[in-house]
Amino acid sequence: MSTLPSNLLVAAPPKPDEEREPEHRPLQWKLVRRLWSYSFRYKRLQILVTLQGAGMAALLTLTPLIVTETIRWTIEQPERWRELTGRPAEHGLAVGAGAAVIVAVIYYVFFGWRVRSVNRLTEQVVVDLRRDLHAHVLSLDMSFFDRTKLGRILSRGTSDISAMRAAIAQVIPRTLIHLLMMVLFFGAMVLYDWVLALMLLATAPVVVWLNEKLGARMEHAYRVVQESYSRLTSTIAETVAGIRVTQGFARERVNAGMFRELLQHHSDNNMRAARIHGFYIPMFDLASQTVAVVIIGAGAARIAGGHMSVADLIGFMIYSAGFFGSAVALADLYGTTLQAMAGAERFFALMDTKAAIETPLSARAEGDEGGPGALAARAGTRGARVEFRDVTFGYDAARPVLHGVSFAVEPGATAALVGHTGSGKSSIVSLVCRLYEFQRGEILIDGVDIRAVPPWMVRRGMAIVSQDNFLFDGTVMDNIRFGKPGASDEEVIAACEALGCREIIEGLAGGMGKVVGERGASLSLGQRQLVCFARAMLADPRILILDEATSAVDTYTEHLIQSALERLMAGRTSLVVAHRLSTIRHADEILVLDHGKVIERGSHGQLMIAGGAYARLYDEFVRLSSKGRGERLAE
Amino acid sequence: MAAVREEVTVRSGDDGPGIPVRELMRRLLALAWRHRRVAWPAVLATVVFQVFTLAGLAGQGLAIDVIREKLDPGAPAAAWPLGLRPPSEWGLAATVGVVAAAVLVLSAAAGVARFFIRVCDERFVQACVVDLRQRLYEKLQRLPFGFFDTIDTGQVINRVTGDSQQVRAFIQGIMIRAGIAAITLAIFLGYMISTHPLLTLACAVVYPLQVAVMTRYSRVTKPRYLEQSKQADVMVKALQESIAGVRVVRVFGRERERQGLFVRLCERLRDQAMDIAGTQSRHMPFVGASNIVAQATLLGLGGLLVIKGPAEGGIALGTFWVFRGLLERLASQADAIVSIIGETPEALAGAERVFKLLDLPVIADGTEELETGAGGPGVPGVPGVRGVRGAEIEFRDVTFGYDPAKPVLHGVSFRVRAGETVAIVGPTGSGKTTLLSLIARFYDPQAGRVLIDGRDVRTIRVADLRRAIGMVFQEPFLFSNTVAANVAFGRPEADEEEIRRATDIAAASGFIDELPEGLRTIIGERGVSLSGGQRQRLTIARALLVDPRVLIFDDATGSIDALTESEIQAAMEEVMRGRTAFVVAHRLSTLRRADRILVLEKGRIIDSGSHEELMSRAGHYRAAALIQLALDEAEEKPGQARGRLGQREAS
Repeated sequence: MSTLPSNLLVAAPPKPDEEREPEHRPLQWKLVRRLWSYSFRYKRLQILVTLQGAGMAALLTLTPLIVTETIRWTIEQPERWRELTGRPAEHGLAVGAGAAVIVAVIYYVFFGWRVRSVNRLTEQVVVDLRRDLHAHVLSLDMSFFDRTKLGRILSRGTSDISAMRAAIAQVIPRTLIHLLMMVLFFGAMVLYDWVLALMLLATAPVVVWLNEKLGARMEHAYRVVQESYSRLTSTIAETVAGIRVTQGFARERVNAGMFRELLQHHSDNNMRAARIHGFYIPMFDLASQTVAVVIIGAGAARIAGGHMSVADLIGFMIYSAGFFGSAVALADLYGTTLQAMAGAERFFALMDTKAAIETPLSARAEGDEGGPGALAARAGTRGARVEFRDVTFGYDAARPVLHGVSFAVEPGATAALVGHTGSGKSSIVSLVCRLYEFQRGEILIDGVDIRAVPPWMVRRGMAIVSQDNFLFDGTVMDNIRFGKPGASDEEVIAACEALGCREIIEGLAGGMGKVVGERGASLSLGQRQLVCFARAMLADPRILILDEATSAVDTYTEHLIQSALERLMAGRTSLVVAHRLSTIRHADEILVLDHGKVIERGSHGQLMIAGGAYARLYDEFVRLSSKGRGERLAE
Repeated sequence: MAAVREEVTVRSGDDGPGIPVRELMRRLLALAWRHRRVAWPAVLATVVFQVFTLAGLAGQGLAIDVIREKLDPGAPAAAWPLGLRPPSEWGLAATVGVVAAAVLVLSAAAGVARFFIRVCDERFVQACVVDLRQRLYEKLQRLPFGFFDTIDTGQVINRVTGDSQQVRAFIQGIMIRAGIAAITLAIFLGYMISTHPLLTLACAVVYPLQVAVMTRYSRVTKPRYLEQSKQADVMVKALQESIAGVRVVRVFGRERERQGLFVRLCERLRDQAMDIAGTQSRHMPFVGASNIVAQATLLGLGGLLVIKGPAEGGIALGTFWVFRGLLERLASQADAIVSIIGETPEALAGAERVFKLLDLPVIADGTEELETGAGGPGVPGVPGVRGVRGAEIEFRDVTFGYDPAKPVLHGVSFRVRAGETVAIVGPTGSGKTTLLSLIARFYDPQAGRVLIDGRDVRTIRVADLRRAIGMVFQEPFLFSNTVAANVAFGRPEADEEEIRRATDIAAASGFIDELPEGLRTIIGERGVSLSGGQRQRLTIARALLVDPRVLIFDDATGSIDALTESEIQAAMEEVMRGRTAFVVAHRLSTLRRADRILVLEKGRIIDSGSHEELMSRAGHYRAAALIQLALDEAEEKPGQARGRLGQREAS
């Protein structure tokens, strides 16, 4: 008998559709342009930053020039200074040093100014990127959230935007400075000795080749490091999530051993990357040193031939070193750029995700708050009529989960959806909320096809109580107010009152001001449900969507919840994914679903008489929940 | 319309006292010192590298002097080191050629040294980080649950990855770089001072100034950076909630309010960054500007010395060149020191969080052994064999609160005989889960004792204690791994046959066989998703496989619907046989089967007895049971309903 692998901590291999790091590939200009378009929105700031960059390059070119020329006029040819000014060479030195100090002062002021402009531009662009991301994500339809993990979307807004920030704050301005410096430095070198300058230019291809060759290897090595790092992270995440299980089963030692292996693996990857990196840096150094040596040798010959002076040689050496320095800086920036572009690629891929149902934020601005078009909010009856006509829907169009579903819920009536897990109950309520696009048929609210109006209009006048009872971190008051942002404190309290749960909510430690914590964690399940009810109550919807929580709560709370629920549903059209017997019993119409089809419909009484699938389901329910009582009665 | 007045906070879980910087440094150095053997090669490589770099630069200076000497009759003679002067009859080309070749060799050697610096550094850093992460992980696993209640998951992950990365940054970016800077300064300044002390002093004076300015900068900005990172956390959390709560946001049509809130948080972050940038713009340029001033000083003073010439206490032009090169390199070392100063607070903050986590108290381990398996005959650990032994559990006047000032349990006493099944009932918040947590020693009570087999649980080795207890939690948590690995979680060495037997008894084998790869199917986030009932049955099998003497079902059917519950009910009964079992339950059907029921309210046991006993006397239990019955009454008996409707239609 073979022992099965129980490497619980070594996370399972990624599925094919799992996101992979983009492979090494050249710069994509489309992405660069797209990112640039963000900073070009601020044209004046962008031009200012560009000009400041040019100024910096000029300033940095000036200093070696001052040094070289001072040496020429005071040390190499002091007599010429004397001829020109009538002062001794020492005076020339003072002039040179003074000029350099002036450059330093200008540099200080100018650089400070530039830091502020670059930051302003960068931070503004980051705000824009985040704003667009958030707005876009909110406009995507549910199928996107079904297939995309939260963490992945979050890292678009954090690490990927950070990478792009680096591109805007560093790459664009610095690339400009260094490119300009290379041009200016090369110009200066040509000035000092054009033959040497051309020789230097000839070495460029070698350096570029080296950079390409090693750069690709390094990038690969770091990607491997990144992968093992994310395995570490996901392992820790799981450890934390399953901490109770781990401790309860005394698994700490086994886990620690596995984690050690992961750590060692990650460490080995780091060492490999370091070795490649360690090889890479000195290669660049060596290349520039070789050039320096060639310059010395060739320079000596040029001086001997009377083509250049020692000052020319010194100037040439300073500029050539600077030239290489800029080249190295550009190579580094290229690395940053690739990282930024990997981030930009993921970011814009998300931004390009098309919603099947678009809900642009701007569209809502005009007809907001129950304007004339707000479908479910139309005056008249308190409830709305909801009708499905032959609706076929699948999350994947090829595999329908609803097959030609038809039914109608009259205004103010309650429809309970009943059936086993996977029968399509949740899909139906999601479609009413216009959370998914369906493939065939029609859904009508008060006779209007919901596809004919913008989604926000469909959802105005609707409220949802979802199965997970999602709450935002914040106070209880804020969470209830979410149902109607303009509501006063009194209105919020009145909504609780109307549900008959005011005492419970105000009785919390901290009352209405109690902070509910991440996903409402500091409230109990029952309390969370009641807050969700109050939120829906305050919204005063015509259509109530209720996905009942499956979890059992204690008897007293259950009682409270049921009575609150009755009050919440009163007079509204309610669609309920039902798990409670009482909800099902009180429904005006029960829709029994099986494999995406409505197999039975009618009131509880009618269906019981029919003695079909519902009756069997109901027997099962009752047997379960009152077995104890049945036995007692038998005694 | 009023804006959503919603503020977002992040629970970071550290409210403990800070660790003084001196103590932090001591601990960081202690960590590094433990791995010193790996560090020495890095130091050696650094010395070699800088000496060779200096020599290469000196070679360039020599070349300049040689050229001047050969071509300018007025120039001073080049100063050859170590008496290596070549014959004067050599021409310019030959002499410069020799120097150039020497420079090239030295650069190559420096390059090799640099390679070793990088590799040795990394080895040292990895040694430290692996050590630290391992300790963090082990600590994390042993922390009491209370810790995880006070901290967001993301923050915990951050401790082990992000914050330990900060410690890495400290070691690599601060300690090592400081070491390199110190070595470099010693070698370069040593050379410069021995060449010309006055010139050295005049030029190098800017560096301490730079360090002073940037120290001030980091002191001024430290609180603002802290504020910024807090605001960043809040921003991320808002984004996270918009995504996690997207259904609610959408159906309530609150997109614009969420967007408004989020953009406000982003803008606040931007304003904070701009505030920092203002300070930055006054301090950062000082470094570059003062480097130019150092060059100006060298130009003025060094120029004078060159004009004077080496013969009269001045220097050669080649020496001027070497000084110039060294100043550039010193500037980059000063840069390094400056950024070290800048990064230190952040790295120390990370290190502080790491050490705080490492310092958190964990439950003290006991020393005594405890029989763990219920020990049915046959293959050890095979569950479900008749005649297995349970354990006796006793609570003696136990008082406990997560916050000792607010007890959740008040003087709870009861005794459970081996093999008994005990149900615990009570309203939400009455302390049921807390009570059960004390048995497995997830917490220690503040007063009173918990006994297993008559021995205080605190005297028993925690691992033994927990192995003797099988737990099924309210949330059926499974790891992203194969079904088999999940079931064998408590006993990784279990073979397939044993796993099979456990899943059989837990009524899980049926659906497992329908999975694409059976026991080897990967489940969870990355794999097949299972229903609540299926997941719960796997957790029952998991508890079974360790063959526990005590079984704890903490509301195991709470998170599944009534239909699914029926699938599990039988499995639960089967596995409880012969073992001591604790069950938190709401449904009467479960309660009736218990040998004894403990009624818990506000942390006190207010009643106990069998279902019949409790029903026979007025009390909370009967009241609650009656409400339950009333709820059931509303459902009526299917037969009656059918009958009555039938009558109505007939009439």
